[in-house]
Amino acid sequence: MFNIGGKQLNSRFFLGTAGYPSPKVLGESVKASGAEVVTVSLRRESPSAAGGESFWNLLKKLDVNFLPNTAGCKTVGEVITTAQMAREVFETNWIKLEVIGDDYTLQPDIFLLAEAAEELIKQDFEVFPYMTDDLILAERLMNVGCKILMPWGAPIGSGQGLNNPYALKTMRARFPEATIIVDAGMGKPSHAVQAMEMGMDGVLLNTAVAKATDPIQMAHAFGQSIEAGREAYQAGMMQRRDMANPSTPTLGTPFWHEKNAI
Amino acid sequence: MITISLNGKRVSVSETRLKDMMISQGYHSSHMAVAINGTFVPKSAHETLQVNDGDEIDIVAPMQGG
Repeated sequence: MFNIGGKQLNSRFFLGTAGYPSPKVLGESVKASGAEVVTVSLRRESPSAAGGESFWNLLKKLDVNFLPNTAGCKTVGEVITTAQMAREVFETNWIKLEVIGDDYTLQPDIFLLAEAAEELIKQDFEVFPYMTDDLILAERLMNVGCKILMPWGAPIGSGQGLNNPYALKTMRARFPEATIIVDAGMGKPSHAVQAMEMGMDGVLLNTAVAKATDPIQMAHAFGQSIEAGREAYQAGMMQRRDMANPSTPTLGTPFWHEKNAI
Repeated sequence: MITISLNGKRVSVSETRLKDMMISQGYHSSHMAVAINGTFVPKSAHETLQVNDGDEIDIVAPMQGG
């Protein structure tokens, strides 16, 4: 079991709900993934489209926890208002804090991030901050009360994997008490395995599943990779060596004879 | 009549109570949240809050997200 934000979960996979070919495929993908938390958002509602109502009905059938985001927010004020609206609609104090600072890389504005996190925690939110892999930012977020850190692997939707494994490993080592979820940039299950083998507590992704040729199968593949990576971390991996080391015992190897044995 | 900005569009409405205005504009779902001039308005205040001329009102609903 895995404890996060006051809840016990079996799965360490956090799955996004955007960009699937259809609501049916989204629903089947969530089931196949084994994820117990899905990320969701809020957008202006058009009464004629009533998209919010149909999406809500789909969500309720999935029987999962909701992690609403503040995607698109660029100021602390927008973040706080969006979080308050999300708390009412989704009936949760969990909030995936996003404050975008650069439209091309979707890199978070780390200064506003820390400011928004502090205010949200004062208002009793459980903050899941989407952040860069900067150590000082991590420390600042922990100091204002964040228990969870969500460093990016790579820019959102890029599929590049872990661009800076060193920084992520360092964050894991420096903040052993934090719950660290690698969020964004994953392209394939091996990226998720790599993150989990580092001792990360979970992985959050969306596009790599939603844009796969078969999202349902890919969701299952990622679910398995996250479990495999976690097990490998717990099992303890061998140390890497520069030179070969025979795995078959050399003692008793035939055809070798001491010189002048006869 | 007052003129407000509703989800970014200017509209003229005769209802000045928030809940009445929402219904008249077709917002019937219970799974929505409201902000006026950038400030969250909890559901408990929808029945009583008055909408003023020039208010900027956002009504949001659940949507897919990453």
